[in-house]
Amino acid sequence: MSHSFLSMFRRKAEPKIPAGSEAFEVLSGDPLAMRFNGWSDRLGAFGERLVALNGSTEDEFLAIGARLHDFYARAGAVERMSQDVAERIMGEDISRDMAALREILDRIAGYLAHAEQESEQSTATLTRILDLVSHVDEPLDGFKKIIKNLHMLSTAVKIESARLGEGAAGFNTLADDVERLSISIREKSADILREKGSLAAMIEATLARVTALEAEQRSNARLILDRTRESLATLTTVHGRCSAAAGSVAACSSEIAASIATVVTSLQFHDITRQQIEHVKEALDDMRGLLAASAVAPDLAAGEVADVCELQEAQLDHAREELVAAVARVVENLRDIARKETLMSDETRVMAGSADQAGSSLFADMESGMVQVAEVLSESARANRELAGAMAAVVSSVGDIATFVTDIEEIGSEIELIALNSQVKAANTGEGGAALGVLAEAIQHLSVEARSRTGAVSEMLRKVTAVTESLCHEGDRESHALAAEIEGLIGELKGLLGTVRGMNETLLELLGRMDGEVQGLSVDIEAATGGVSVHNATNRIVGEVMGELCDLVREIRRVAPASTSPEREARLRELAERYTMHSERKVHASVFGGAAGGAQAFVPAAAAAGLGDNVELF
Amino acid sequence: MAKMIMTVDDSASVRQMVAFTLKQNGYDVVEAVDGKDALAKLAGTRVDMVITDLNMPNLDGIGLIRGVRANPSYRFTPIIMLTTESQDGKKAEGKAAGATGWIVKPFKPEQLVAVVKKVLG
Repeated sequence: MSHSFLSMFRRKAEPKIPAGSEAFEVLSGDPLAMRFNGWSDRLGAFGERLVALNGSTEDEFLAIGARLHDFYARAGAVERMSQDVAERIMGEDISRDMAALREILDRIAGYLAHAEQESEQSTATLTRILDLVSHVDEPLDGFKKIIKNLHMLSTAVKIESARLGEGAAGFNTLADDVERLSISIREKSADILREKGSLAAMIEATLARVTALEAEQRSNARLILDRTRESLATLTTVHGRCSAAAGSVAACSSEIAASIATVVTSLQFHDITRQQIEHVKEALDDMRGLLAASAVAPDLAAGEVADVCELQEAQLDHAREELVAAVARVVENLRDIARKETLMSDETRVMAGSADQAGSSLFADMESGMVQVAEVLSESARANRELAGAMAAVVSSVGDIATFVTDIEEIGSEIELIALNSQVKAANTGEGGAALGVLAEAIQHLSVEARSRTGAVSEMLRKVTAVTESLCHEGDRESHALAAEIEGLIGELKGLLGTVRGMNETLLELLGRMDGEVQGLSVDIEAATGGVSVHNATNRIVGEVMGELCDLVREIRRVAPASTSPEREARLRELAERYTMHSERKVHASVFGGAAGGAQAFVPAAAAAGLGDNVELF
Repeated sequence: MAKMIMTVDDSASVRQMVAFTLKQNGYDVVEAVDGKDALAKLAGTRVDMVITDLNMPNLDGIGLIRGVRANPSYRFTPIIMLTTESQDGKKAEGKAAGATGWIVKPFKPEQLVAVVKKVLG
């Protein structure tokens, strides 16, 4: 407060202002002086209104100042939350996940290539088996002729045996053996053909499944690789997003700090304008003193009162403008803090890849993608197990056919024995058994052909068995390796998924808290600024006083026109030199021009350079 | 341990803004409403720096500086005048009384903090 200002306009010789009209008794004879009482009362009333105004405005400033602590703290909390989000997104967990995901991507690619190769091999093997099986028909067809010949030989042996009578009794048994053999060959051939047909159908079905699986694997492979790459790209872009958004957040923080600084500076204008208004009130009091003491030259006193009132009108206008502008800056900057906080929250959401508050985020998308990859890998594992089962069924079926090889080979041995037996018996029968000897020789020829046929069939079946056995061994080995690989990948994906899910939940929780804090802050700032009315009251009251001062000046000017005198100029110069504030001197200069005298600006010493033009260090 | 700074001003809103600025920057703050109040509080509190207004009731800023400098414990304590007063004569008076520096209101927070850091070292 400028207490020295009380004496700014007061002449040392002037008496104190007497109360009421008694102060002007000595001037009662002068028509001009007759007005002094009314003017003094009006000046007194203006002063009282200004005092009342000064006493009523600080509470609102203090209330805003008190809230500023709270707003600053909460803005800082939001900024820290934003930094927390950035640190989490750019932290070690993400780097580790990126490395793990890259490794998984490599292994998935390896697994898919492996599975595709395995599928192609299975297809080739099954096709080879099918081809071999289809060639079993040809040697089996040859058995039809052997069966027919055996049957005919059996009949011929029986006829010849009957013709020879008792001497060829053993040939009946031989005929039965030949007949039984022909039936056995027919049955075995039929069994082999039936089993071969069943095997071919099974292989064709398995081939179809392998082909379908191959197509599915290829389709899944694309999906898996695409999704995993997307997830990896997501993680890769996180750093880029963070850098850009962190820049925006930092810019917001700087702007918020600047806004708070502006509010701090602006709130001081209450004290500044309070002093200016106080100085005006004191100047008006001084004029009342002048009116009370100007018995000798009332016209000069009236002129000076008008001059000073005109000056105070300008000082009030300046004070009013400064206060209204300061309050506007306070309100605007506080609201700007709320806007910047919202922007900071939005930028943080961008940083976290979360565009809304419904739980959607970069990491949620990534989590979804990884769940899909794990599901597709599980499906792939199931399909591989199914294929391995189908292969095992093929191997089992081929095993059944292999038992027929032994049977066929036994037929070859048996027919040879029958042929040998018939030759021995024909020789024992003597010349009468010559015909039987021919038949025995025919059986012998047939045994050679049968041996050849059974050899071809068993060779074919051995090939099928051999190929199938290799399929069986490879299939088992590959199947187990693939199963282990898939299990490993799924396990690691689930582990990674847990981390990503945890990150997502943490981020959403942080973002939610941040949104809540920002919304609460915005509401509170709006409530705090919406109720600010000090500038309106100041504007209105000061405006009214200015209007009335203006009226008073006009009234005085009508009866006491402006005049100049060396004394007046000296007093105004003295007035200007007594101002404490540079702004007051400037206003004075604007009203009285050169009479302002000391309207120089505050010039700080060089030592304080860089601290501002209002700072000087001694 | 945070440095203790005393803000002396008969305007509550100015004291509030000085305290806000300094506290946000890690300083402890003690408030006094005029020079007389400040001298009384200085007797019972260890203060590392004083930021005072010039024109105050009871005891003004110049009187306060003289009172502070009269105490050997505070002979070298930085004292910054924070006032609307910008006349060279008053500045010279403050400097002669023992002020360390002069800031004309209104201050910007960063200015005040820079001055405090500079004078407190």
